[in-house]
Amino acid sequence: MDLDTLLRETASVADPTPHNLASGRSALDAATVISARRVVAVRHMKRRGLGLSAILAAAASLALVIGPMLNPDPSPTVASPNTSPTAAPDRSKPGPSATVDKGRSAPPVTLNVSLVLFRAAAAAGAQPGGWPDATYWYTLSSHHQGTGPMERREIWQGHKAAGVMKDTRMGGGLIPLDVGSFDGFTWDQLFALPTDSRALERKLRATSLNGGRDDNTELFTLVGSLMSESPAPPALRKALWEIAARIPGVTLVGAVKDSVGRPGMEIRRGFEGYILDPKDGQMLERYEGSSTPVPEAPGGTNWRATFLEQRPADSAPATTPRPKPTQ
Amino acid sequence: MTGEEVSDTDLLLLSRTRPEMLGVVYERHAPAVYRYLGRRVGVRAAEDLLGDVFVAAVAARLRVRPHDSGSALPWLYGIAGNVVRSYRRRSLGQIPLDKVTAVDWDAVDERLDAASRREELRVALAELTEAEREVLLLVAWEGLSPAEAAEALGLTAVAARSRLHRARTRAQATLGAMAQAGL
Repeated sequence: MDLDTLLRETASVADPTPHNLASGRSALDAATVISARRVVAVRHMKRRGLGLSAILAAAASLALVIGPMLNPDPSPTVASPNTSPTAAPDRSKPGPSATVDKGRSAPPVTLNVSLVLFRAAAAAGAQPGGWPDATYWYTLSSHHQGTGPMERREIWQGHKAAGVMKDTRMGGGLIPLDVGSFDGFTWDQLFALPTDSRALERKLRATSLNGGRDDNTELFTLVGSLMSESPAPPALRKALWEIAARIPGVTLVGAVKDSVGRPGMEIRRGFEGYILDPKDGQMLERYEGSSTPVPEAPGGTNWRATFLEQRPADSAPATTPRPKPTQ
Repeated sequence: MTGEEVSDTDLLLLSRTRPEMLGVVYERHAPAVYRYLGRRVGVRAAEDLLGDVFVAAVAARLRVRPHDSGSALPWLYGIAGNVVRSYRRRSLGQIPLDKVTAVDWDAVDERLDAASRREELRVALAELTEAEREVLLLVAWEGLSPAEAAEALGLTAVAARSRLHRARTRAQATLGAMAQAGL
């Protein structure tokens, strides 16, 4: 028999049923949740040994005397250009120090990172809201990766329905997502988490970390992630910032402006940093900084996400059904 | 542009920082990967191994270099090939694996109506090296181009074309010899 005919006759095989595909999808989803939780932490581990840890540790030991925190709305004019993301700072190095406002008549307050974070926690917890029954959690953000352009992302994460994402990097197309999963927690599970920070920390350490040496790094990342693109209610956000205040190695960089010029306070642990709004405890920006190329990071060395809007939403753009794959 | 039109290349790049994007890749390509597995280990094992392929893809996504064709399938078939080899090592002696062709002929038998044809193909493939057999089946069974098969096997496109040519020539010669001998 002709080879092509023989191969053609042996090529056909039964298409999978939905049942055949379901278990594979479950395995993938489980692996994805773990990977999403670890993606930042793994990078941190790979970047170790660069000598920057010592520099950052030295920065941590500085007692920062800053004025802007006396004012709940720190003036953009007092932020040092060297610490402003809009001035494209080198995030691989700690800021020269926190901004010092020498012109104010009030006595300076010696701030440390714990005080900043506990204040942010109180502000976050005092926010109105709680959206246990909302349909979607909407987040508008901009992302910058390495030397690439700034990209804009909108994501509607579904409470019980499938979500959808638009990302300019992908031409602005609608990307269908599964039902919202927030670092392994469903929407309803987020609302069932303890809001006492010590109970919450015990819960997160027991259920969401890997039990390894680097749990504090993972915990810091987890706090940042839940503060960024999740419907965490105000009481949970308060507890999350309180947890961050107790994580060893977190340092205060100082008063800065984020990539779109909003004033905030910058904290940092290792190569990961957050800019938060002290007025309401909102996460304004997250970044990872490194002085050396990161091979697995598309396009370059640094990543930065700026969160422009977060809110519950009643609806999300509709995606078209995917055509059935053909043989 | 809709989500349906987003290329595999963009999904794979995005998955490096958002691994859940592999869920879209799964919806798009899991049936094809299932069929790849079914052709090599039978449909019963394919269901179990399908998850293994995509779990391995979660880790492998950080190293993926999307193929010029824009399809994720060559990459996924490369991973699936490793999963199949690992499965065969684990199952040594437990599955009816032909030691020469490394094919589960019971799986082939399920879709070939005449036992004699199964034997023809078995003999023809047995004349090939593993590398030749793989590239031939990726092109003939999975519908990959020679360049995509090269990606799946970690070869250069030139090497894949060369192996494919050798595989076809030798397999066809074997079939001709069998016909001449009245087999």
